[in-house]
Amino acid sequence: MKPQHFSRREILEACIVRGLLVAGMPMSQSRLLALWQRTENEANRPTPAEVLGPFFKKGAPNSPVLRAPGDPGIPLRVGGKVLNTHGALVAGARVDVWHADHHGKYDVQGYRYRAKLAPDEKGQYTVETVMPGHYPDRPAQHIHYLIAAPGHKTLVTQLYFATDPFFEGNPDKNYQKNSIVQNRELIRPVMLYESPGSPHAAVEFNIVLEAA
Amino acid sequence: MPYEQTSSLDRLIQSDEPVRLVSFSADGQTLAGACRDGKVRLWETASGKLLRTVALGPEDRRSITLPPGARWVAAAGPDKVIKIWSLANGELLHRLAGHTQPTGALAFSRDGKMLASSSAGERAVRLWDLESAKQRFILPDGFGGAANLVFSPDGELLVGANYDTNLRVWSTRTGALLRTIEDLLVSIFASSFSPDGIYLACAGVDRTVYVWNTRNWTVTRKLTGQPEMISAMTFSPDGRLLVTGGTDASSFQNPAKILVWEMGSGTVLRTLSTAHGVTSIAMSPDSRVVAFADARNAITLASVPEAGISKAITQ
Repeated sequence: MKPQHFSRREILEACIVRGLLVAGMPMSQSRLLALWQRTENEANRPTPAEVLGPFFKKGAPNSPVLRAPGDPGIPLRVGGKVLNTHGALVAGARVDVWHADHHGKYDVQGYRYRAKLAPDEKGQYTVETVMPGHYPDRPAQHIHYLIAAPGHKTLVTQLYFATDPFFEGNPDKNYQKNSIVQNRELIRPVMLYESPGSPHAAVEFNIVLEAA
Repeated sequence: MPYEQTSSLDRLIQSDEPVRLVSFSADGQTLAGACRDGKVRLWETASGKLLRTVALGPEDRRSITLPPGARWVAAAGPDKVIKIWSLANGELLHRLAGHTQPTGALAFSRDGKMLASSSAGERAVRLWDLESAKQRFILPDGFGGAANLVFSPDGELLVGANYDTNLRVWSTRTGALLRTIEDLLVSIFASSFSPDGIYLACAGVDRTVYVWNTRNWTVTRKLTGQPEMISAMTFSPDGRLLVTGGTDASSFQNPAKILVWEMGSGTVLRTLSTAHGVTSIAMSPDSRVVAFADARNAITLASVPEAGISKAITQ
Protein backbone atom coordinates (compact mmCIF):
# COMPACT_ATOMS: atom_id res chain seq x y z
CA MET A 1 0.00 0.00 0.00
CA LYS A 2 1.22 3.44 -0.84
CA PRO A 3 2.22 5.35 2.31
CA GLN A 4 -0.05 8.25 3.09
CA HIS A 5 1.52 11.63 3.91
CA PHE A 6 -0.24 13.92 6.32
CA SER A 7 0.50 17.57 6.76
CA ARG A 8 1.46 18.78 10.23
CA ARG A 9 -1.89 20.51 10.40
CA GLU A 10 -3.79 17.30 9.58
CA ILE A 11 -1.89 15.41 12.26
CA LEU A 12 -2.64 18.10 14.84
CA GLU A 13 -6.32 18.12 13.86
CA ALA A 14 -6.43 14.34 14.33
CA CYS A 15 -4.77 14.76 17.74
CA ILE A 16 -7.40 17.28 18.80
CA VAL A 17 -10.27 15.08 17.56
CA ARG A 18 -8.89 12.07 19.47
CA GLY A 19 -8.27 14.04 22.63
CA LEU A 20 -4.47 13.72 22.34
CA LEU A 21 -4.02 17.46 22.32
CA VAL A 22 -6.35 19.18 24.77
CA ALA A 23 -6.70 22.77 25.85
CA GLY A 24 -5.86 23.54 29.47
CA MET A 25 -8.37 26.36 29.44
CA PRO A 26 -11.58 27.00 27.50
CA MET A 27 -10.82 27.74 23.85
CA SER A 28 -12.10 26.77 20.42
CA GLN A 29 -10.49 23.94 18.45
CA SER A 30 -9.26 26.36 15.79
CA ARG A 31 -7.67 28.57 18.45
CA LEU A 32 -6.04 25.57 20.07
CA LEU A 33 -4.66 24.49 16.71
CA ALA A 34 -3.34 27.96 15.87
CA LEU A 35 -1.78 28.41 19.31
CA TRP A 36 -0.06 25.03 19.17
CA GLN A 37 1.31 25.62 15.69
CA ARG A 38 2.64 29.03 16.61
CA THR A 39 4.33 27.71 19.74
CA GLU A 40 5.81 24.78 17.84
CA ASN A 41 7.14 27.02 15.09
CA GLU A 42 8.72 29.42 17.53
CA ALA A 43 10.50 26.58 19.29
CA ASN A 44 12.48 25.87 16.14
CA ARG A 45 12.47 29.28 14.61
CA PRO A 46 15.26 29.84 12.10
CA THR A 47 18.23 31.71 13.53
CA PRO A 48 17.85 35.38 12.56
CA ALA A 49 20.09 36.73 9.83
CA GLU A 50 22.54 39.60 10.28
CA VAL A 51 24.76 41.38 7.80
CA LEU A 52 27.82 39.66 6.38
CA GLY A 53 30.07 42.67 6.93
CA PRO A 54 33.13 43.57 4.88
CA PHE A 55 35.66 41.09 6.28
CA PHE A 56 34.52 37.67 5.11
CA LYS A 57 37.37 35.74 3.55
CA LYS A 58 37.04 32.62 1.46
CA GLY A 59 39.11 29.51 2.03
CA ALA A 60 39.49 29.38 5.82
CA PRO A 61 40.93 26.09 7.18
CA ASN A 62 38.79 23.40 8.80
CA SER A 63 40.55 23.79 12.13
CA PRO A 64 38.59 24.31 15.34
CA VAL A 65 41.53 25.73 17.33
CA LEU A 66 41.91 29.42 16.52
CA ARG A 67 43.66 30.34 19.73
CA ALA A 68 47.44 30.14 19.82
CA PRO A 69 49.39 29.85 23.08
CA GLY A 70 49.92 33.29 24.57
CA ASP A 71 47.21 35.02 22.54
CA PRO A 72 45.79 37.95 24.51
CA GLY A 73 42.12 37.79 25.47
CA ILE A 74 39.81 35.57 27.50
CA PRO A 75 39.92 31.99 26.20
CA LEU A 76 36.54 31.20 24.69
CA ARG A 77 34.84 28.03 23.52
CA VAL A 78 31.84 28.41 21.25
CA GLY A 79 29.85 25.43 20.13
CA GLY A 80 26.47 24.15 19.15
CA LYS A 81 24.51 22.10 16.70
CA VAL A 82 23.23 22.86 13.24
CA LEU A 83 19.52 21.97 13.16
CA ASN A 84 16.56 22.33 10.83
CA THR A 85 13.24 23.91 11.79
CA HIS A 86 11.94 20.47 12.87
CA GLY A 87 14.75 20.16 15.38
CA ALA A 88 16.63 17.50 13.41
CA LEU A 89 20.36 17.62 12.76
CA VAL A 90 21.35 19.00 9.38
CA ALA A 91 23.77 16.83 7.43
CA GLY A 92 26.65 18.20 5.43
CA ALA A 93 26.67 21.69 6.98
CA ARG A 94 29.73 23.94 6.74
CA VAL A 95 30.15 26.68 9.32
CA ASP A 96 32.39 29.63 8.51
CA VAL A 97 33.30 31.67 11.59
CA TRP A 98 35.49 34.77 11.74
CA HIS A 99 36.07 37.52 14.26
CA ALA A 100 38.43 40.28 15.33
CA ASP A 101 41.29 39.55 17.71
CA HIS A 102 41.49 40.80 21.31
CA HIS A 103 42.54 44.24 20.01
CA GLY A 104 39.62 44.49 17.59
CA LYS A 105 41.59 43.74 14.42
CA TYR A 106 40.63 41.33 11.69
CA ASP A 107 43.35 39.38 9.97
CA VAL A 108 42.74 40.16 6.31
CA GLN A 109 46.16 38.98 5.13
CA GLY A 110 45.94 35.47 6.60
CA TYR A 111 43.40 33.33 8.45
CA ARG A 112 43.90 34.14 12.14
CA TYR A 113 40.57 33.72 13.96
CA ARG A 114 38.94 32.27 10.88
CA ALA A 115 37.70 28.74 10.29
CA LYS A 116 35.39 26.79 8.05
CA LEU A 117 34.15 23.95 10.20
CA ALA A 118 32.51 20.66 9.35
CA PRO A 119 30.26 19.62 12.28
CA ASP A 120 30.85 16.08 13.62
CA GLU A 121 28.47 13.12 13.22
CA LYS A 122 26.40 14.45 16.12
CA GLY A 123 25.97 17.74 14.28
CA GLN A 124 28.18 19.49 16.79
CA TYR A 125 30.64 22.22 15.91
CA THR A 126 33.15 23.64 18.37
CA VAL A 127 35.65 26.42 18.08
CA GLU A 128 38.39 27.24 20.60
CA THR A 129 39.24 30.91 20.37
CA VAL A 130 39.44 34.12 22.42
CA MET A 131 36.74 36.64 23.21
CA PRO A 132 36.69 39.09 20.27
CA GLY A 133 37.84 42.64 20.95
CA HIS A 134 36.00 45.88 20.36
CA TYR A 135 36.74 48.16 17.45
CA PRO A 136 35.58 51.74 17.13
CA ASP A 137 33.51 51.35 13.98
CA ARG A 138 31.36 48.61 15.49
CA PRO A 139 31.63 48.62 19.25
CA ALA A 140 29.92 45.34 20.20
CA GLN A 141 31.94 42.12 20.43
CA HIS A 142 30.76 39.62 17.84
CA ILE A 143 31.59 36.50 15.88
CA HIS A 144 30.49 36.31 12.26
CA TYR A 145 28.85 33.15 10.95
CA LEU A 146 28.13 31.84 7.49
CA ILE A 147 26.37 28.48 7.48
CA ALA A 148 25.64 26.53 4.32
CA ALA A 149 24.08 23.08 4.00
CA PRO A 150 22.59 21.11 1.12
CA GLY A 151 18.84 21.69 0.84
CA HIS A 152 18.90 24.70 3.15
CA LYS A 153 19.07 28.44 2.78
CA THR A 154 22.56 29.79 3.42
CA LEU A 155 22.47 31.73 6.67
CA VAL A 156 24.59 34.79 7.43
CA THR A 157 24.45 35.84 11.07
CA GLN A 158 26.44 37.02 14.09
CA LEU A 159 26.83 35.94 17.70
CA TYR A 160 27.00 38.53 20.49
CA PHE A 161 27.86 38.22 24.17
CA ALA A 162 25.58 39.21 27.03
CA THR A 163 28.66 40.11 29.13
CA ASP A 164 29.77 42.74 26.60
CA PRO A 165 30.18 46.14 28.35
CA PHE A 166 28.34 47.55 25.33
CA PHE A 167 25.07 46.13 26.73
CA GLU A 168 25.74 47.65 30.17
CA GLY A 169 24.62 44.51 31.97
CA ASN A 170 21.14 44.69 30.44
CA PRO A 171 20.95 43.34 26.89
CA ASP A 172 17.13 43.32 26.99
CA LYS A 173 17.15 47.06 27.41
CA ASN A 174 20.25 48.02 25.46
CA TYR A 175 20.50 45.62 22.55
CA GLN A 176 19.21 48.16 20.01
CA LYS A 177 21.66 50.85 21.10
CA ASN A 178 23.26 52.53 18.06
CA SER A 179 21.37 50.06 15.79
CA ILE A 180 24.28 47.64 16.18
CA VAL A 181 22.31 44.46 16.96
CA GLN A 182 19.05 43.62 15.20
CA ASN A 183 17.93 40.59 17.21
CA ARG A 184 18.01 40.12 20.97
CA GLU A 185 18.23 36.35 20.65
CA LEU A 186 21.67 36.60 19.02
CA ILE A 187 23.06 37.89 22.33
CA ARG A 188 23.97 34.78 24.31
CA PRO A 189 24.79 34.21 27.97
CA VAL A 190 28.40 33.40 28.81
CA MET A 191 29.42 30.58 31.15
CA LEU A 192 32.75 30.61 32.92
CA TYR A 193 34.58 27.30 33.49
CA GLU A 194 37.68 26.65 35.43
CA SER A 195 39.68 24.13 33.50
CA PRO A 196 43.10 23.01 34.77
CA GLY A 197 45.39 25.98 34.74
CA SER A 198 43.09 28.70 33.52
CA PRO A 199 39.47 29.72 33.34
CA HIS A 200 37.72 29.96 30.02
CA ALA A 201 34.41 31.32 28.84
CA ALA A 202 31.93 29.19 26.93
CA VAL A 203 28.91 30.04 24.82
CA GLU A 204 26.37 27.71 23.28
CA PHE A 205 25.06 28.79 19.92
CA ASN A 206 22.79 26.37 18.11
CA ILE A 207 21.92 27.30 14.56
CA VAL A 208 18.54 26.62 12.98
CA LEU A 209 18.48 26.63 9.17
CA GLU A 210 15.44 27.02 6.96
CA ALA A 211 14.80 24.57 4.16
CA ALA A 212 15.67 25.97 0.75
CA MET B 1 58.54 56.67 -7.29
CA PRO B 2 55.71 57.99 -5.13
CA TYR B 3 56.43 61.49 -3.89
CA GLU B 4 54.78 63.81 -1.50
CA GLN B 5 53.90 67.11 -3.09
CA THR B 6 52.51 70.18 -1.47
CA SER B 7 50.89 72.60 -3.82
CA SER B 8 49.15 75.92 -3.49
CA LEU B 9 46.60 74.49 -5.88
CA ASP B 10 45.36 72.07 -3.21
CA ARG B 11 42.27 73.41 -1.51
CA LEU B 12 40.17 72.25 1.37
CA ILE B 13 36.40 72.53 1.64
CA GLN B 14 35.09 72.14 5.16
CA SER B 15 31.58 70.71 5.17
CA ASP B 16 29.17 71.11 8.06
CA GLU B 17 28.52 67.39 7.96
CA PRO B 18 30.55 64.30 7.02
CA VAL B 19 30.56 63.77 3.24
CA ARG B 20 29.85 60.30 1.94
CA LEU B 21 30.01 60.93 -1.82
CA VAL B 22 31.50 63.60 -4.05
CA SER B 23 30.93 64.38 -7.71
CA PHE B 24 31.76 67.19 -10.13
CA SER B 25 29.17 68.82 -12.40
CA ALA B 26 29.69 68.26 -16.14
CA ASP B 27 31.29 71.71 -16.53
CA GLY B 28 33.50 71.13 -13.49
CA GLN B 29 32.39 74.36 -11.87
CA THR B 30 30.37 72.78 -9.09
CA LEU B 31 31.32 70.09 -6.63
CA ALA B 32 28.46 68.16 -5.07
CA GLY B 33 28.75 66.32 -1.77
CA ALA B 34 26.14 63.91 -0.40
CA CYS B 35 26.33 64.31 3.35
CA ARG B 36 25.43 62.14 6.30
CA ASP B 37 22.61 64.47 7.32
CA GLY B 38 20.64 63.58 4.17
CA LYS B 39 21.52 66.75 2.30
CA VAL B 40 23.49 67.32 -0.88
CA ARG B 41 25.69 70.39 -0.64
CA LEU B 42 26.86 72.13 -3.80
CA TRP B 43 30.07 74.16 -3.66
CA GLU B 44 31.68 76.39 -6.25
CA THR B 45 34.83 74.52 -7.24
CA ALA B 46 36.95 77.64 -7.78
CA SER B 47 36.18 79.35 -4.48
CA GLY B 48 34.91 76.54 -2.23
CA LYS B 49 31.88 78.70 -1.52
CA LEU B 50 28.67 76.85 -0.57
CA LEU B 51 26.15 77.62 -3.34
CA ARG B 52 23.09 75.57 -2.47
CA THR B 53 21.80 72.68 -0.43
CA VAL B 54 19.34 70.07 -1.69
CA ALA B 55 17.47 68.17 1.01
CA LEU B 56 16.60 64.52 0.46
CA GLY B 57 13.80 62.75 2.30
CA PRO B 58 14.27 62.97 6.06
CA GLU B 59 15.17 59.29 6.39
CA ASP B 60 16.74 58.66 2.98
CA ARG B 61 20.25 58.11 4.22
CA ARG B 62 20.79 54.40 4.24
CA SER B 63 21.71 53.99 0.61
CA ILE B 64 22.67 56.76 -1.76
CA THR B 65 24.43 57.40 -5.05
CA LEU B 66 25.71 60.57 -6.65
CA PRO B 67 26.85 59.91 -10.23
CA PRO B 68 29.54 61.75 -12.22
CA GLY B 69 28.05 64.94 -13.66
CA ALA B 70 26.08 65.48 -10.45
CA ARG B 71 22.79 65.99 -12.24
CA TRP B 72 20.85 63.64 -10.01
CA VAL B 73 21.01 61.93 -6.68
CA ALA B 74 19.22 58.72 -5.70
CA ALA B 75 18.60 57.58 -2.14
CA ALA B 76 16.45 55.22 -0.12
CA GLY B 77 15.66 54.79 3.55
CA PRO B 78 13.59 52.58 5.84
CA ASP B 79 10.57 52.77 3.48
CA LYS B 80 12.70 50.93 0.85
CA VAL B 81 11.44 53.29 -1.87
CA ILE B 82 14.24 54.69 -4.03
CA LYS B 83 13.76 58.38 -4.81
CA ILE B 84 15.61 60.33 -7.46
CA TRP B 85 16.00 64.09 -7.21
CA SER B 86 17.26 66.62 -9.72
CA LEU B 87 20.20 68.54 -8.30
CA ALA B 88 19.43 71.43 -10.65
CA ASN B 89 16.25 72.36 -8.80
CA GLY B 90 15.77 69.82 -6.00
CA GLU B 91 12.69 68.36 -7.72
CA LEU B 92 11.70 64.78 -6.89
CA LEU B 93 11.78 63.04 -10.30
CA HIS B 94 11.04 59.39 -9.54
CA ARG B 95 9.86 57.08 -6.78
CA LEU B 96 10.84 53.47 -7.38
CA ALA B 97 8.88 51.08 -5.18
CA GLY B 98 9.41 47.33 -5.12
CA HIS B 99 12.11 46.44 -2.65
CA THR B 100 10.83 44.37 0.25
CA GLN B 101 14.06 44.52 2.27
CA PRO B 102 16.43 47.42 3.00
CA THR B 103 18.54 48.58 0.07
CA GLY B 104 22.32 48.95 -0.04
CA ALA B 105 24.45 49.94 -3.02
CA LEU B 106 22.86 52.03 -5.79
CA ALA B 107 24.27 53.07 -9.18
CA PHE B 108 23.19 55.10 -12.19
CA SER B 109 24.11 54.21 -15.74
CA ARG B 110 26.24 56.88 -17.39
CA ASP B 111 23.35 58.22 -19.52
CA GLY B 112 21.10 58.36 -16.47
CA LYS B 113 18.52 56.05 -18.04
CA MET B 114 19.00 53.12 -15.69
CA LEU B 115 19.45 52.62 -11.99
CA ALA B 116 20.62 49.47 -10.20
CA SER B 117 19.85 48.81 -6.54
CA SER B 118 21.10 46.06 -4.26
CA SER B 119 19.42 44.49 -1.28
CA ALA B 120 21.38 42.10 0.94
CA GLY B 121 18.16 40.83 2.54
CA GLU B 122 16.66 40.02 -0.85
CA ARG B 123 19.96 38.60 -2.09
CA ALA B 124 19.23 40.37 -5.34
CA VAL B 125 19.93 43.43 -7.44
CA ARG B 126 17.06 45.24 -9.14
CA LEU B 127 17.50 47.02 -12.44
CA TRP B 128 15.19 49.98 -13.10
CA ASP B 129 14.38 51.77 -16.33
CA LEU B 130 14.17 55.46 -15.45
CA GLU B 131 12.41 56.52 -18.66
CA SER B 132 9.40 54.43 -17.71
CA ALA B 133 10.19 54.40 -13.96
CA LYS B 134 9.62 50.64 -14.06
CA GLN B 135 11.59 47.72 -12.74
CA ARG B 136 13.14 45.71 -15.55
CA PHE B 137 14.80 42.80 -13.82
CA ILE B 138 15.42 41.21 -10.45
CA LEU B 139 18.92 39.78 -10.69
CA PRO B 140 19.75 37.04 -8.14
CA ASP B 141 22.93 37.96 -6.24
CA GLY B 142 25.15 36.44 -3.56
CA PHE B 143 24.53 36.20 0.18
CA GLY B 144 26.35 39.35 1.26
CA GLY B 145 24.69 42.18 -0.65
CA ALA B 146 26.56 44.30 -3.18
CA ALA B 147 29.34 46.45 -1.77
CA ASN B 148 29.19 48.42 -5.00
CA LEU B 149 27.55 48.37 -8.41
CA VAL B 150 28.86 49.88 -11.63
CA PHE B 151 27.56 50.09 -15.20
CA SER B 152 29.88 49.86 -18.20
CA PRO B 153 30.11 53.24 -20.01
CA ASP B 154 27.87 51.99 -22.85
CA GLY B 155 25.32 50.73 -20.34
CA GLU B 156 25.42 47.17 -21.66
CA LEU B 157 26.91 45.59 -18.53
CA LEU B 158 26.20 45.85 -14.84
CA VAL B 159 28.92 44.63 -12.49
CA GLY B 160 28.21 43.93 -8.84
CA ALA B 161 30.91 43.30 -6.24
CA ASN B 162 29.24 41.30 -3.49
CA TYR B 163 30.49 41.04 0.06
CA ASP B 164 30.58 37.28 -0.58
CA THR B 165 33.79 38.28 -2.48
CA ASN B 166 32.42 37.33 -5.92
CA LEU B 167 31.99 39.69 -8.86
CA ARG B 168 28.95 39.23 -11.05
CA VAL B 169 28.49 40.60 -14.54
CA TRP B 170 24.95 40.96 -15.88
CA SER B 171 23.57 41.99 -19.25
CA THR B 172 21.33 45.02 -18.79
CA ARG B 173 19.43 44.07 -21.95
CA THR B 174 18.45 40.53 -21.00
CA GLY B 175 19.10 40.41 -17.27
CA ALA B 176 21.27 37.33 -17.87
CA LEU B 177 24.13 36.61 -15.51
CA LEU B 178 27.02 36.60 -17.99
CA ARG B 179 29.82 35.76 -15.60
CA THR B 180 30.64 35.14 -11.97
CA ILE B 181 34.23 35.84 -11.00
CA GLU B 182 35.05 33.79 -7.91
CA ASP B 183 38.83 34.24 -7.86
CA LEU B 184 38.97 36.88 -5.15
CA LEU B 185 39.22 35.86 -1.49
CA VAL B 186 38.17 39.15 0.12
CA SER B 187 35.66 41.91 -0.59
CA ILE B 188 35.89 44.57 -3.29
CA PHE B 189 34.78 48.02 -2.08
CA ALA B 190 35.26 50.11 -5.23
CA SER B 191 34.97 49.52 -8.98
CA SER B 192 35.50 51.81 -11.94
CA PHE B 193 35.39 51.30 -15.72
CA SER B 194 37.93 52.96 -17.98
CA PRO B 195 36.12 55.52 -20.15
CA ASP B 196 36.47 53.29 -23.23
CA GLY B 197 34.81 50.45 -21.30
CA ILE B 198 37.64 48.02 -22.00
CA TYR B 199 39.06 47.90 -18.49
CA LEU B 200 37.39 47.40 -15.15
CA ALA B 201 39.39 48.26 -12.04
CA CYS B 202 38.30 46.71 -8.73
CA ALA B 203 39.89 47.08 -5.32
CA GLY B 204 39.09 46.53 -1.67
CA VAL B 205 40.23 44.73 1.45
CA ASP B 206 43.52 43.34 0.12
CA ARG B 207 44.83 46.81 -0.95
CA THR B 208 45.36 45.63 -4.51
CA VAL B 209 43.82 47.09 -7.67
CA TYR B 210 42.81 44.33 -10.06
CA VAL B 211 42.41 45.53 -13.64
CA TRP B 212 40.33 43.26 -15.83
CA ASN B 213 40.20 43.33 -19.59
CA THR B 214 36.45 43.04 -20.08
CA ARG B 215 36.82 41.52 -23.55
CA ASN B 216 38.09 38.25 -22.11
CA TRP B 217 37.74 38.89 -18.35
CA THR B 218 41.37 38.23 -17.57
CA VAL B 219 43.32 40.28 -15.04
CA THR B 220 45.76 42.33 -17.10
CA ARG B 221 47.36 44.20 -14.22
CA LYS B 222 47.59 44.31 -10.44
CA LEU B 223 48.57 47.56 -8.78
CA THR B 224 49.99 47.27 -5.27
CA GLY B 225 51.23 50.03 -3.01
CA GLN B 226 48.16 51.41 -1.26
CA PRO B 227 48.96 51.05 2.46
CA GLU B 228 45.33 50.59 3.56
CA MET B 229 42.21 48.86 2.32
CA ILE B 230 41.01 50.64 -0.81
CA SER B 231 37.68 52.25 -0.01
CA ALA B 232 37.22 54.54 -3.05
CA MET B 233 38.55 54.65 -6.58
CA THR B 234 37.92 56.30 -9.93
CA PHE B 235 39.39 56.45 -13.41
CA SER B 236 40.04 59.94 -14.75
CA PRO B 237 37.68 60.94 -17.57
CA ASP B 238 40.62 60.85 -20.02
CA GLY B 239 41.52 57.31 -18.94
CA ARG B 240 45.10 58.27 -18.16
CA LEU B 241 44.86 58.07 -14.39
CA LEU B 242 43.35 55.95 -11.68
CA VAL B 243 42.95 57.43 -8.22
CA THR B 244 42.65 55.18 -5.16
CA GLY B 245 41.86 56.14 -1.59
CA GLY B 246 42.30 54.08 1.56
CA THR B 247 40.67 53.36 4.88
CA ASP B 248 42.53 51.73 7.76
CA ALA B 249 41.08 48.28 8.47
CA SER B 250 40.73 48.96 12.19
CA SER B 251 39.01 52.34 11.93
CA PHE B 252 37.91 54.90 9.39
CA GLN B 253 39.07 57.48 11.90
CA ASN B 254 42.73 56.63 11.27
CA PRO B 255 44.86 58.45 8.66
CA ALA B 256 45.03 57.16 5.09
CA LYS B 257 46.60 57.84 1.69
CA ILE B 258 45.32 58.78 -1.75
CA LEU B 259 47.37 57.51 -4.68
CA VAL B 260 47.24 58.91 -8.21
CA TRP B 261 48.32 56.16 -10.60
CA GLU B 262 49.34 56.64 -14.19
CA MET B 263 47.81 53.68 -15.97
CA GLY B 264 50.24 53.72 -18.89
CA SER B 265 53.26 53.13 -16.68
CA GLY B 266 51.56 51.65 -13.61
CA THR B 267 53.44 54.14 -11.44
CA VAL B 268 52.21 56.47 -8.70
CA LEU B 269 52.41 60.11 -9.81
CA ARG B 270 51.28 61.63 -6.57
CA THR B 271 50.58 60.55 -2.98
CA LEU B 272 48.28 62.59 -0.78
CA SER B 273 47.49 62.17 2.89
CA THR B 274 44.26 62.51 4.78
CA ALA B 275 43.52 62.45 8.49
CA HIS B 276 40.65 59.94 8.13
CA GLY B 277 39.53 57.18 5.81
CA VAL B 278 38.50 58.13 2.26
CA THR B 279 34.78 57.82 1.59
CA SER B 280 34.66 58.97 -2.05
CA ILE B 281 36.82 60.20 -4.92
CA ALA B 282 35.80 62.19 -8.00
CA MET B 283 37.77 63.68 -10.86
CA SER B 284 37.03 66.93 -12.65
CA PRO B 285 35.81 66.55 -16.26
CA ASP B 286 39.17 67.88 -17.55
CA SER B 287 40.99 65.20 -15.51
CA ARG B 288 43.10 67.89 -13.82
CA VAL B 289 41.66 67.98 -10.31
CA VAL B 290 40.92 65.15 -7.91
CA ALA B 291 38.41 65.67 -5.14
CA PHE B 292 38.21 63.33 -2.20
CA ALA B 293 36.10 63.26 0.93
CA ASP B 294 37.24 61.78 4.22
CA ALA B 295 35.20 60.25 6.99
CA ARG B 296 35.05 63.53 8.88
CA ASN B 297 33.96 66.75 7.20
CA ALA B 298 36.78 67.58 4.81
CA ILE B 299 36.87 67.56 1.03
CA THR B 300 40.27 68.09 -0.54
CA LEU B 301 40.70 69.36 -4.09
CA ALA B 302 44.15 68.49 -5.37
CA SER B 303 45.82 69.12 -8.68
CA VAL B 304 47.02 66.21 -10.72
CA PRO B 305 50.54 66.25 -12.17
CA GLU B 306 50.81 67.06 -15.85
CA ALA B 307 51.51 64.08 -17.98
CA GLY B 308 55.18 63.55 -18.69
CA ILE B 309 54.15 61.20 -21.40
CA SER B 310 50.42 61.27 -21.82
CA LYS B 311 49.05 57.98 -23.00
CA ALA B 312 45.87 56.07 -22.65
CA ILE B 313 45.78 52.82 -20.73
CA THR B 314 47.70 50.08 -22.43
CA GLN B 315 48.53 46.54 -21.56
